[in-house]
This record gives sequence, C-alpha cells and structure tokens, in this order.
Amino acid sequence: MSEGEQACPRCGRVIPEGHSECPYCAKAHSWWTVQRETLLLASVAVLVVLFAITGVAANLYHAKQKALAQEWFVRGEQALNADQAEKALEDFRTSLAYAPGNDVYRLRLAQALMAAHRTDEARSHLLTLWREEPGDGTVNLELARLAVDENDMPDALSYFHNAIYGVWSRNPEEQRRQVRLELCKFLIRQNAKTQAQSELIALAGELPDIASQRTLVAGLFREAGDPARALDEYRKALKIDRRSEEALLGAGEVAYQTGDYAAAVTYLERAMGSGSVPPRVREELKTARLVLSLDPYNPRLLRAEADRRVLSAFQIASARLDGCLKSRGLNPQPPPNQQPSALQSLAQQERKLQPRAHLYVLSRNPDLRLNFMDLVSNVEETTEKQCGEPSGDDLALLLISRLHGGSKQ
Amino acid sequence: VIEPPEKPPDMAAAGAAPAPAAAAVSPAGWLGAKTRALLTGEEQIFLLLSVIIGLFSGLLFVCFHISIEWIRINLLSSALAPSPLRVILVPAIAGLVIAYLVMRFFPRVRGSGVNQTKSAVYIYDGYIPFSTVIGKFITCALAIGSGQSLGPEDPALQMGAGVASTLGRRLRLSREKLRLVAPVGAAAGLAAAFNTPITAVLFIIEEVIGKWSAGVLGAVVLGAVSSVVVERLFLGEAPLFRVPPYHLVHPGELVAYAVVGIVGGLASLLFVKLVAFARPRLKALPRWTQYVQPAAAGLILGVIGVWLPQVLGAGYEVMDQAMHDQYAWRMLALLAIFKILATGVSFVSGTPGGMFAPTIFMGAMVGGAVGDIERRFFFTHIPGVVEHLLGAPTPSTVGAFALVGMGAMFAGIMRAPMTSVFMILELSGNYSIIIPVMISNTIAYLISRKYQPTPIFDLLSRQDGLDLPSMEEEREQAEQRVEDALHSPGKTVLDSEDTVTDALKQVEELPDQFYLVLRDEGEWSGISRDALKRAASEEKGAQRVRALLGDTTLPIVHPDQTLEVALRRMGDWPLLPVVHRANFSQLVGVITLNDILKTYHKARQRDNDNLPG
Repeated sequence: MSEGEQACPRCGRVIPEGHSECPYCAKAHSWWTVQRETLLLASVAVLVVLFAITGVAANLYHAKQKALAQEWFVRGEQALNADQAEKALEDFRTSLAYAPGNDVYRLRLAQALMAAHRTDEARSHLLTLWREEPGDGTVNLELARLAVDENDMPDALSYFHNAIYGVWSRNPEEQRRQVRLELCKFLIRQNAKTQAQSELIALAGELPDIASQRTLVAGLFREAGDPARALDEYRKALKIDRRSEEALLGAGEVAYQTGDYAAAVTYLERAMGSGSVPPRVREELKTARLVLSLDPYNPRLLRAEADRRVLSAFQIASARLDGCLKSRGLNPQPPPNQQPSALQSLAQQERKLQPRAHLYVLSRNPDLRLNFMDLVSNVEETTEKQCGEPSGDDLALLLISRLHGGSKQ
Repeated sequence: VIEPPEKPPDMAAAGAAPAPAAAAVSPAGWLGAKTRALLTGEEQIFLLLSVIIGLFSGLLFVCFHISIEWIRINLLSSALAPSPLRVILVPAIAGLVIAYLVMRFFPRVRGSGVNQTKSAVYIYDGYIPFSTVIGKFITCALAIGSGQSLGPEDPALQMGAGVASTLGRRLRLSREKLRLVAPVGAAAGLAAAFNTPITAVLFIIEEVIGKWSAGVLGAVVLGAVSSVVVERLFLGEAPLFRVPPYHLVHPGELVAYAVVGIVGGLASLLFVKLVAFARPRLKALPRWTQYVQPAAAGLILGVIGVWLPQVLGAGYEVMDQAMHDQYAWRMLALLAIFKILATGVSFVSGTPGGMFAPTIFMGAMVGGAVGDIERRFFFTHIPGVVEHLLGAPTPSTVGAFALVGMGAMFAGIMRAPMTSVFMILELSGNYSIIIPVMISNTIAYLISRKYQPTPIFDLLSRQDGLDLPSMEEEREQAEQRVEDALHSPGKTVLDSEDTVTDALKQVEELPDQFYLVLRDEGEWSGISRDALKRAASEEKGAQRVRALLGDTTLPIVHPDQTLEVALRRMGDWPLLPVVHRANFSQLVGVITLNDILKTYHKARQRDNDNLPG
C-alpha cells in the first residue's frame, strides 16, 4: 500500500482515492447494523431451539445409559449367583461404565472382585466408596472382610467398628448386630479371646428376645472361654423357648464342663426328650448321672450314705489300680532295694487302707473319709496318665475329684 | 476494525428533532435504542459473540459426545470388551466409510484439528467453512465410535472454531476480529470436550494465539466458561476421571516422579518419532491408497483390540481404572506400548480425530506402570506411612503416578508446558500434586525438546507444506534488544548552551551528520551539521544551539527495549538516544537504523548457523 492510501478497517481493501469510506462496505452499511442485530437475535433463537433439541437428545442418552447400566448389573447379579465371579465382575464393570456414580454397582463390583480373589482391585473400589461415604456400614464391613482375608487385625478391627457404628440404610440394628457377630467370630479365630468376650458382652446386651440368637451368642461365649456367660445366655434362650434343643444341649454341655452335673443332667435329659442327640452327649449324660450317684461330697447326703459312697469309690479306685498295674506288668510289691513306682506306692497305700474300709470304722473315725478320697483322687489321676482315659465310674470319680479340688480337699 | 455507526437510526432522528421530542421517546423505543447501542459497539459485540459461540460449542459437543456413544453402542455393542468379530470388522469397515467421506466430501477434516485451526487463524483470516464442522462431526464421531484410537477433544476444538468462524462471517466481523474469533471457538470446543476451562484457555493461548492480551483473553474465557456450563448442564457435573487424593509423604517419592518424567519423555519421543516417520511415507503413497489407509489402520487396531480392547476409542474408563489400581504394572506397560502403536497407526492413516485423549491415556499407563513398579519394589512403606499420618485408609499412590504421567506425556508430545501443569491441577483439583507434576513435566518436556526439536504440531504442518508460526520457537527465540544494537555516543552530543560557532568547531572533524543535544533534564533533541552551517552562514554564530532546536524533542529508548520498539520510534530520525531508565539525562548510547539492521542480520546468520544439518 503506497503512502496516502488507506485500508478499510472492516474489509481490509484499499479505499480508492476520493472516497472517505470503503465503497464496498458502505453499500451494505445501511442494512448492516440491522442485519447484525437480526443475526444476533436469530442466533439466540437458534440457540433456544438447539437447547431444546439437545435437551431431548441428552435425556434419551441418559435414559439409554441408565438402562444399559441396569441391564449389565442384572447380568452381573445372575453371574454372581451362578458362582461365575469373573463374568460377574466384567458385567458389573460394564454397568459401572454406564453409571460411574452409582455406588451400588461399584459395591457389587467390589464384592465380585473379592469373590474372584482380586483383592487389590476390590480394595481400590471400596476405598473409592469409603472416601465418598466414610460412615457407610456396608463399605466398612467389606473393607473389614478384606482385612480379615489378609489377617490384618488392626485394619479389620477399625473397619468392623466403623461398620458397627456406621450408617445402614435398611434394618440398621440387625445389621450392626450381624457385624459385631462377625467381628466376634474373627476375634475368636484370632484367639483374641479377651477382646472377643468384651464384644460378646456388648452384643448380648443388644440382642432381642430370640432364642436362636441367644443360643448363638452363648456358643460364642463358650468358644471365647467364658462358660459362665455362655450358660447364662443358654438359660435366657431357654426362658424364651423352653424346648430349644440347641439351647438345651448347649446348656447341658456347658453345665457338664463347669461341673454343674445336676444342671447338666437336667438339661441333657430334656434335650434327649426333645430329639435325637449325638452319642457324645449321651456319654456325658451318663457320666453326669454317675457323678451325681457317686459323689460323696454332696452336702445333702446323710452321713451313712456319704460313708457308703466313700467306700464304693475306694473299691472302684482299687479295681482301677489293680487293672492298671496288671496292664503295665507291675507287681503291687516292688522288688527289694528298689524304689516303688507311683502305681506301686498307691498300691501300698491302698493295702494299708484296705483293712479299715468298713462302714463302722468310718462312722467312728470321720477323718478317714478324707484319706480314702485322697487315695481315690490320686489313683484316678495317676492311672489316667499311665493307663489312658478312664470311663464309666472311674471317669465319674476323676471328675468328682477335680470338682472338689483333687487330693487337696 | 469495525467502526460503530456514527449514529443509530433512531438516535439520528432524535438528534434532528427538538429536545422535548427526544424526551417523549417511548420506553420500548428507549430500550431498542439502548439495545442497538449495545449491539453496535465492536467490543461489546465481540464479548457477546464469545458467549454465543461458547453456548453453540457446548451444545455441539454434547451432541458430538452422544453421537460417539450411540455409534459405539450400535457398532461395537454396549460391552466393554466386544466380540472379536466386531472388534476386527467394525473399525476396518468404518475406516472405509470415513476415507470415502473425507476424500469425496470433507477433505479439510483430516488431522486432529489444532493445526487446521491455526491455519485458519494465520493463513485464511479465520475462515473455516461450516462444511468442515459438519464433516468433522460425522467422520470423527464415526472414527472414535468405531474404536479408532483417537480422542474427541481436538475435533471439538476445530468444530468450535468453525462455528465461531461461521458466526463471525455472518456478523461481518472485521478481518482482525475474524482471526480472533476462531480461537475463541476453539477454546470453547476444547473446554467442553475436556471439561476443563482453564486448560482450554491456556492451551489456546499457548499453542494457537501465542500471546496474552486482555481483549482476547476475556473473550476466550467467556467462550470456554459458557461451553463448559452447557456441557455440564447436559452431561452432568462428573469429571472425566475420579481422581484419587494425593499427599506427598516422603521426599524420596519425588525421585520416583522424576522417573515418571524420564519414562514419559522417552515414550512421547517414541510416539512423535513414529508419527514423524510414518506419516509422510503414507502420504507419499498413490492417492487411491488413501481410500484404504483408515481401513487398514482399523484392521490393525481390531487385531490389537481383540487382545487388548482397552486401546479402542478414547479410553477414559480405562484411564479411570488405571488410576484406581485396577491393573498391575505389566498390563499398564502393555497398554502404554500398544496405545502408542494404535494411536500412531490411527493418526498417520489420515483418520480424523484428536490426540489429546490418547496422549493422556498413554501418560496414565506409563505413570501407573512406573508407580506400581516403584510401589512394589521401592516404596512399599508409603501407603502405610500415609495411613499412619492421616489416621485413615488411603489408596495406593498408583493413581497419583498415573495422573502425573498424563501431564508428563502431554508436556512431551504437545509441548505446551504450562497447559500440561494446569491440566493436571484442574483435573485433580489438588494443588499438593503441583510439585511432582512440575518435576516430571519439566523432565519430559526437556527430553522431548532435546531429541525432537520440532514440536508435533509444527512437524505436522511442515509435512503438510504449511509454514505456521511455531509457538514454541517464538517463545524460545531470543529477542533482539536495543542494548544488542546500540553504539557509543562518542562526541556526537552537543551542549545546548554552546554557541553555534563552538558547536561547529566541535563537529568539524566528525564524520556524523546529526548530533544529540541535551536541552533540559531528560529531554533530548537533535541537530544536523547542515542546520548548524546554515545558522553560521546566516550570521547566527553567536547564538546558542538551544535557539535553533525549536519545540521538537527526540523519542528516547532504553537499553532493554526491543529493536521493534526502537524501529517504531525511529521514524525519520537518523538516530535515537538510548538513556538510562532511572536517569533520562544519562546517555547509555545511540542507535541508528543501520545498527538495527546490522543486528537483525547478525541474528539471522546466527540462526542459520544453528539450523540442524
């Protein structure tokens, strides 16, 4: 452009000499402003129409996405129910791709991943959910289960407690109880019995009056090494349902284990009356009955009956000692210049007491009862170690001995 | 520049009428006048237009996104891993259709869209035909929907620019504004596609416009924000990825992030070299092969896709999965390698589609792989430490590594370092990650620059025979300053209080014809030898030099100013005084037109010497 020439600021063309403004643009100048307004207004009108069309399209799109997400989710559920964890997780993953914000889909995907033992991926999804909703009970429970699988006690405890005190959308009380139950089972498996007992005490305090739940907790108390609370829970269960076979059996067994043979006989007899019981329980009942029939320490016994039971126990123990000596090929009398064995010592003591084993001797000398019962206790303990588990009367005597503190009584 | 009309019609009428008549204008008339005044101001129009462009771009992207999904579901099925038969056949057959459409109807839609937008701005006065928008929409939706390893961001950028250009032309904007309006649309399109307005604005400034100016920035921001609002309105607020939280626990981690930068830089080199090698060779093949190249690319992609369906399409879900620890390092490394191959094949075949999504995909895989390796073998303590410190469970750090990897790869391939940093900040919404991002991005950028001097967009434009301005070269180019060209003033400075006779004596032996005169504090004038001689011949030898100067003062320049400033100020003056910024009376040197030209000449020679080969 030479000096003096001027370019049109609008179209850039050179304005010819003698023109004050661009002749090309000037032609359109009068309608141009109107045109611009009209065009802008038209643009706004077109925008409104496009907004409406796009809105319809977007709604259809979202509906389709939602339908696809649901369709793949259902497929995933079916696959998971058919134990096809790998297929299920692909389906859940697809459903999640169509509904990335859906926490239920993500949770199911995490559960499918856990079922497929892909714990790293499962954890990642669960942590995503956890970050969004740190108080969600289900998510915390699943994270706790992951920690349990990995034997990570601190994490497991933390997540279990988060789950217990977390938010549950449906039936929260029952869900929290179930979580605590799961935590108790985990603690018992980990042999953390003290922690398990404290959790069980809390759980027992929250239980509704349902016999089966009380029975379950009682069983856990037994496993956690707290038979007294176990028996208490069995009794509460029986108050709710007197015929609960499981509670009767459990109560009977706990009573048997704790030395309450009278209660054991009562509960086990009721259990046998209400249905079939395992042979082990029959044996326990039998033993408990023997204990009750042989126990000379029962304070309700008349003195004569107590003396009779002491002598009976002595005779049974003597027979057990003879049998044991024979089975081990030992002579009751040790060879000269040789130290007697434990069994032989007991045999010597037995021989010394034998002449005094009469009711009238005992009635005149009540202190002898203790000597007899000490010997009975020592015989049963020693023969158990040297000649194997006793049975029948001998077992009953051993239990009586242990119940009353053995030979120290 | 469009001049506003001298007077709007009604105002003209009002001006002709007496004052009371003006007061009698009805409220509707007054409103109309105000509206017209608003609609006829050039700057107002431009800003209003930016918002309209943003809204159009947002709507267009929403439709584009829906179309891609619709095509994917209908062609490949709704499953994440479609059947092998479909995976092999669909991209190949779609490739044939795309090639036909491109060759017959939409030849301008080839490529990603960034260079095409730059071409529009720098070569075609902002002109992008609307048919390009239509063509880009159809072919890219088909390509991405059918599983080609390409992204929707760059096409959205070009479509936005196309819409803006169309609107600008319809509104008969000036050539200057038409050039500016295309980047506004480009930013709007990119912002909607990436759901990150800041990144879009930065990218357009850094890669397309190349300079910051308040007028453009305002329009670009308005366009980007409007489009993102529309996109979020229809597609939801959810970000592209669920980014895991990040905390720097141990300074040793930074070493690991530096490794991400190194691996990311090398991986980006691999990709750029692949494109640089294969693209011109494929373009050189006979024209008929261009009908089958996208189909062949689709077939290769299908074969890869049967084994690794994750490489198909843009792959946002896969990036999300990588960030959430769902792949081990071997799988991540495989995905990175095959995504580089798949994207390279898709892109060099001439299939229209973008490189943004594939780039960050590769970065996520590279970063995730490095992160997983480092977590497993070197930093096993980190998650535990984090948990201990925060008292809460934390995800593994793989997500953070994947995120940082995205930035590194973006910096390495796109060579837009600022954008790459802000992109990660915007995606993660976590400013704690800035240190790892800056470390790895810088390393990746430097590696890429060292071994691939020409950035990918410049490389592509040169392969296409276009000489578009290289923003990186412009950024890196050393500016020529006054201090590089000035020379010592010597004895060419006269005192204004000297007499004409004395002044003539002083300059008698000097070769110069023009001399500086310090007339007042910081004010410089000049006088020629001829003017002094003329005054002497007119018997004004006893007069002070000051009396000959008149009111004219010389423009001054400072040593740090560019030669361009000196050139502008030079005008018809033979030299300019170069003065100290803190003391205008202190002369640092003088500069002449010849000095300026010599300096430019030397700079050119230096550039020629530095040219590779």
